[in-house]
Amino acid sequence: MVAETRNSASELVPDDEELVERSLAGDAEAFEVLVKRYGRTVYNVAGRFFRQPEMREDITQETFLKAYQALHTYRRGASFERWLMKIAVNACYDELRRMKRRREFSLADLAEDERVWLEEALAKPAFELFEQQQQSEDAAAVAEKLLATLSPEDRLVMLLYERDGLSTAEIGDLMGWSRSKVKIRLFRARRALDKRLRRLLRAARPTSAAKARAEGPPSRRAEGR
Amino acid sequence: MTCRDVRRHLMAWARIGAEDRAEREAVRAHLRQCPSCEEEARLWALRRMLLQATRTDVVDPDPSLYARVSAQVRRQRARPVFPFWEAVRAFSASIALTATIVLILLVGVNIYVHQQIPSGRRDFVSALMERNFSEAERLVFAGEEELNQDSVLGALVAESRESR
Repeated sequence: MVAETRNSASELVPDDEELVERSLAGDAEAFEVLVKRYGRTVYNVAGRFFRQPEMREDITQETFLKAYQALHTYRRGASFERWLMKIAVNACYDELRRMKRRREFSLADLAEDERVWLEEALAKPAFELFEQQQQSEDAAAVAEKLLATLSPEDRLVMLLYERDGLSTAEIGDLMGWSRSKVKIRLFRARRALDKRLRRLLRAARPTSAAKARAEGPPSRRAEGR
Repeated sequence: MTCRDVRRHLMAWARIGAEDRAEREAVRAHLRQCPSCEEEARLWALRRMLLQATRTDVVDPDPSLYARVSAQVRRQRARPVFPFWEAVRAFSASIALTATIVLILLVGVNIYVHQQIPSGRRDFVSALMERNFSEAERLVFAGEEELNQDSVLGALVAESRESR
């Protein structure tokens, strides 16, 4: 018998498995409950790869549509949320593959503000950069441009492993890749990203003005934020 | 602390951040006097900063999104079910049917064309089809050789000699 849980209002709340069973039997409202239950999670998974709200919404819609079509492949007893997350991450991966990839990236591709941010960052000692927690829109814009030059696989593993702290086994499970494939991808992704960063570092040697700004009190531009 | 130790720490920090205070101070002291490690640390720190900058806060989607997703799923449900293997089977069947029709048409056209050509010209057409142009040329001029003025005169001379 399918388990049901009680919420604080002592109201019967059907669990995921029951909702899947009912959806497969043609109950339209059962799947809508799953959409409401996991819509926010899927939307924020999409947010790990795409900043634009429209893109996140598209990914969310695509994920639930794919999940509905593949509902018969969901194994009873497995976590529905995890099953859905795999579909969501793969939908993001498909979107990354569809996106046009930048071939090259140079200092000239940066806007004035982004270049100033980079110069100021590079004027600080490396140890301070490690300690820095403050995030800025300029840094995010530089990162977007830089990541857009990587292959979809490289971009995906860099974000999931280096930024989100997932293990190679977890990434392999999400993507249906072997652990060796994840490790090879990771090695190549780091090498590709570091190559671009080294080129950027050489090109963006901080000027003495930037050094002064970095050593002195916070710039007016930063204060304005 | 050696350069190797420092780089090992930095590699871990680039991903999870620094935690141990004593380790941090030892690495900091090393970086101050080792330009090579400082350069490498700068690269890893920049990589960390840029990747962290792409993080987004957990937010609630627009409430209308749930309704839109549900409506899309409902539309999907209204469509006839067409699973993957059925699609593959239907596609293969349509390819086989098309190939059979094309084959029948080709054979029919071939038979019809052959029937329309006089029997004397079929060899010529066959030679052309096989791209045997010298044979086709021979067949074209084969009849004309008999009506050639020289060959007619030659035949008359030979005939008069024989009658003598």
